[in-house]
Amino acid sequence: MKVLFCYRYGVIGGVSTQLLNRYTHFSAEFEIGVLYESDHGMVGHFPPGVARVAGTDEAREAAIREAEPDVVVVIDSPGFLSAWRRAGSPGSLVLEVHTTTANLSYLDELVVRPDHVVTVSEYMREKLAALGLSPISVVPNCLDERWYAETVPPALGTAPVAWIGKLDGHKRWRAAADLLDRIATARPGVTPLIVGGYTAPASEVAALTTKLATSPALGAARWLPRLDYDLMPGLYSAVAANGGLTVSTTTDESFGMSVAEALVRGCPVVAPAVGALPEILPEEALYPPGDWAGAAERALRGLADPDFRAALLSTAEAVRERTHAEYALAAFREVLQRSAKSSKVA
Amino acid sequence: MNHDRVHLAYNGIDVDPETQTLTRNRLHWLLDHLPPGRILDLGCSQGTLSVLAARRGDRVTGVDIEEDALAFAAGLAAELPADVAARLAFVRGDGARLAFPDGCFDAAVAGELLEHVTDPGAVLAELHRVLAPGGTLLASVPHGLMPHHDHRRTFYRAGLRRLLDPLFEIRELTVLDRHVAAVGVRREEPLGEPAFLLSQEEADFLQREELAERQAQGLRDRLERANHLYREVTAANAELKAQLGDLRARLGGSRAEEDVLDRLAALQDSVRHLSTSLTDGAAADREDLRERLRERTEERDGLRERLRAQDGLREQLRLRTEERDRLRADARAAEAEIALLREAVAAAEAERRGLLESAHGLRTSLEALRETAGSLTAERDELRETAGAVTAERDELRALVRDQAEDLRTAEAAHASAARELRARIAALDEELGAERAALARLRTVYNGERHRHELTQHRLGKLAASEDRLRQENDRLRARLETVTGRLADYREQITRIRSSRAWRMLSVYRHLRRPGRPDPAQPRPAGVRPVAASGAPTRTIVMRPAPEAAPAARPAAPRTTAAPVPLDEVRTGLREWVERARAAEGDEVVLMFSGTTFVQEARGNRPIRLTRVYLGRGCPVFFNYYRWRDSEPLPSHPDPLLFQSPIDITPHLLDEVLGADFGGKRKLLFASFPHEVMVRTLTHAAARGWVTVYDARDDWEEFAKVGMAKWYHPGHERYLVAHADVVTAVSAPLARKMETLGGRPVSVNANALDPDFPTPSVPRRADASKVGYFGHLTDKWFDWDLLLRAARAHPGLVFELAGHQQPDLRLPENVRLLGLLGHRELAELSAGWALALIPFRNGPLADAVDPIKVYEYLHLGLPVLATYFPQCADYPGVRVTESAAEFVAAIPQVAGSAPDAARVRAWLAANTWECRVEAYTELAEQVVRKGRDGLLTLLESR
Repeated sequence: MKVLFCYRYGVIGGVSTQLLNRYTHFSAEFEIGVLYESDHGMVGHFPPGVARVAGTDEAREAAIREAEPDVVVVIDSPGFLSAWRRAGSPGSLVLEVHTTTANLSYLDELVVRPDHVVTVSEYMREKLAALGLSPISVVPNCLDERWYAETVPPALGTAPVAWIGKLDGHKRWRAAADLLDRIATARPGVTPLIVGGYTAPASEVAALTTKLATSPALGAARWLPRLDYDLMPGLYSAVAANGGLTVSTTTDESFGMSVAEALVRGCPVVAPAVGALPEILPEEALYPPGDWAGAAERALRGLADPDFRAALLSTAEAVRERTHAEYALAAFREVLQRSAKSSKVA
Repeated sequence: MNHDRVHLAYNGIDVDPETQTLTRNRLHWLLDHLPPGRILDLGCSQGTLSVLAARRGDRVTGVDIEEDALAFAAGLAAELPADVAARLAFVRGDGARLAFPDGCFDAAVAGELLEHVTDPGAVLAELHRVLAPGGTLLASVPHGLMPHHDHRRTFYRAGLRRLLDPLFEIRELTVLDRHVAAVGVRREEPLGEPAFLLSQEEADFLQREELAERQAQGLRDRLERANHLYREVTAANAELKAQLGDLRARLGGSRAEEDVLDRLAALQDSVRHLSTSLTDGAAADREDLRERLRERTEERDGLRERLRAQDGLREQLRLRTEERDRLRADARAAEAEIALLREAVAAAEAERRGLLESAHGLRTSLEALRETAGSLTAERDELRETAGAVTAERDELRALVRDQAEDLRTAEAAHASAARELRARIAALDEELGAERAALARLRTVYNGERHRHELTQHRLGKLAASEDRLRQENDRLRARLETVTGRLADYREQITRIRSSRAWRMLSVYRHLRRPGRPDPAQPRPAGVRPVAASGAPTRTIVMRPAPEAAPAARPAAPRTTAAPVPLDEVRTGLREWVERARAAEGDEVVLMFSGTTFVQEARGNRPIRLTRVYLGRGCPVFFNYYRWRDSEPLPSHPDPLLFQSPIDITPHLLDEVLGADFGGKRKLLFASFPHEVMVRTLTHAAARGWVTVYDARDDWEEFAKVGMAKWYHPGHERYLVAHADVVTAVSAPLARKMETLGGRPVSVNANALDPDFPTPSVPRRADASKVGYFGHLTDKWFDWDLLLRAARAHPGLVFELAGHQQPDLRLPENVRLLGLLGHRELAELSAGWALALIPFRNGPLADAVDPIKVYEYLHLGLPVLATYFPQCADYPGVRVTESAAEFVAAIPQVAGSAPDAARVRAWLAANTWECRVEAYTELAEQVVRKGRDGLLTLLESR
């Protein structure tokens, strides 16, 4: 069976990492191909000939036609949907939705009707069902082997309180900086840590460095605008081993990948009760959106109270199982087989 | 006139928070969907979106017809950092007649424009023309009726789609609260001409909206009148109260007065009742009107929602109808096919029966034939075996005969060929012997002639050797002169660029443009493909080359480009990869990434990053040198040293990943952030994670420079970030180190400026009667204390003050002050032979407190005593007198001029303060970092 995955950006991490996992596990069973609209260093991670770039409408249409796929999986990429239609709608179409609510607008004007819809959480399933899409399967994101590898966490001499994300309004980095300031003010000895923001506009970079320079409690904070994905498992482990934790201030999450990553590495998380986060976090970890005092109170308890800290990690084992590659890939294999069958019936 | 206030709304000035939020959401949505590249912001108004796009790195041209708005936008641009402002241009123009060539933009925005223009179809046709193939158009318009004096039409979703669709393929169409926004991709082949037309349903709905709006407006007017009446009654009541108080004061006491007071009180009660009833009535009326207004508004919103839902339903209906038609056609085709198949089945059945009968007869015959065939086959096999043996024997004999005949033929042919060759060789040797004899005779003649010429040449060489020294001196003089001219040219160019980027110049340009609209605006970028009429006005850069090393001529980079076209990034990358190869093979054990904010490496410049770079190159250590350029059309410089790779600041961010991740063969990697730029903020810890030792080298107090109008890129947060996150922080002076320590809460080393021992010395000793006072360096009044210098000159009219440098203000100078202009190092050295004293007269203040002037080292190297204003760093330097007050400075001039520094002490001190020593110090600091490892959370950069 020929399976063709189509995604916009060949960027290391995120969806592309999921695709690499799928290639590794499915290539013995299926004939796998990957198409990107543009590549930023990901094509080279696949064996030669597996992943390609189709930069124009015409190239996408030709590539799909040439592949003669049995199943086409399009991940949040409207450009590939129209190309699939122009190519004569070969095989059956699986639409995979990872994006959050704010970017779902393209589903309002779908040019094709997918045979199957895949998404990453129950929260997203409800959202998509409300748009009239069906049938929908939930296939959680999975983590590769490095997330399960042993590391030796270094002694940092301080308890870090980490926030990971892009410097944008969706992740609410300003609220995050103020929350870290509030926590560091209330509990001297912790060190705020901000990770991410390398691609942020200059104005946001200037705003963050100003905050770091002008908030006394953020004086010792460290900001790592960019960190290799390989270093992230070690970072979460080190935060956890030094008595720290992770806070999130996001407005919405379709799955909550960075929260899941932290839990898998045994790092407690305090996060708002939005999107799919209640599916992977215990009640103790969740604060009402916008309740920064509540968020700070939970984080401070997590830093000081071992029992509460254990409660914050009570879902970690379940998340570890749910994001294990075997689990997620088995669910996806079922989707592929069903789609292939429906393609043959048609 | 539009009177647009987007800038105010975006920044929440004089608007309610809801309007600000809606404006921000709309602009951010447009930005989020705007692809990077060359952007046209048509109807840019106050330039808010243009500025946001330029800030994130796009090259944006804003076009609007409103002069006031454009002036406002230009004002905004003038306050931006230079690199952002350089990406922005605002032009006045009509959207229906754009003055741009075809296909010159990657994306265009028409935000709240189409509802204003006379002919939206013409505007869209122009946008289609100026967009490149595959270009993106973003358009937004108010959704539904939005009363405004300048709105010429009303849009609903379907209307906007109909208008755009002939020229642009709609990728996204969405409602953003009070607006509709669309993302379209330019169609290669237009489907027709765009025109705005309301459908019947939209027209009906618009009528209802207008009716509802008129009713709402009527209600608002009534509410306003009621409010007005209420205010009048309240005022009258207050006035009566005041009058009553006056009367009481005047009449108090007698009975008659009390009567009057009672009557007045009664009158006041009446007025109060009247006022209360009016107030209550007005309030009730107002509440009633508000309620009705709210109902109307809700009704209108409901209608809009229904219309939006109808759009969706209509689209669904269309899709369903198409699907149903397709299915019906499929069903009809399937029915016809089934009938045909049935007929074919019946025919096949009859044929099958006939075939079965024939098969039975054939089977019987076949059995008989099989028996006969069995006996025949056995006989044939026997015969085949016999024939096979005979054939094999025959083939062997034939092959033997063939081989023997071939051997014989080959031997005969070889013999004949050898005989022919021998005869030919004998003949050739005879000819060769004759030719050699003739050549020998010619050579004898030539030798005699050459011997005579050689004697003549020896004689001439003797004469030339005598004049060689004279020519070498002349050559040195010319080279020094060329160096000077090059430096001046570079400075003039910088000055011109600063002037052109100044607000005054841009305003002047706009003024010129307005006065002569037909002429090109010099402040605006020239359209692609248009070349200036005369190139003589444009300064060109001359680079003075060091002689290239003899050993590696092939590795010499190409000469600088003379065209203004930017070098393609791929070409730069290729050069970088070649440099990495050379760097890996280099002898030095360190590789340096020098992120400098200075010019590129050139002989006429001697600032700190360039001096350090020269030392590293001298040690065989490769250097990636980032430099500042004002425009990407400036040619890339070349340098004879193949271990130096120079990259301008607009290209460096594209190369950093490759440089930071490159394999340098185990060399220690040092990154110098030589100024606190945003690129370093983004890169510093990433470089550390890639094994680079990061250094923030505070070489000046940038905060103080920014205060006097220099270092416009300075951002205090960035500097503080670098101080806090770098592995090593150094400062050029103790006061600056203390400031950095306070800023970052960490220890900071002093690694001061130094001497380049190759700085020339005078060819003749200094005259014993030298009586001039000298200075070289910047003459800008931002730090050079002209008042002090003039006071000193007036106080010592017998002394001549020679000042070599540039950027002096326009002043009337006394006769004993001479400006020499910018001079090269060689000229300065020769000039200093006539000086009794060297000055550093800077304004006292925090800027000077942080400075360690490089010229101090050079003055001392020239053997001059130095008199300076207040530089705390130099207080203990030998041969330097630091003063604090102007009177002390002026009085010290004859004393210091008459002194002789302790030459041996100065030499020893200078020997310990060379740039080599500074590089040694950095090597030691880097070694400590590597040995000790990182502290605190920065440990995370190393742990996997």
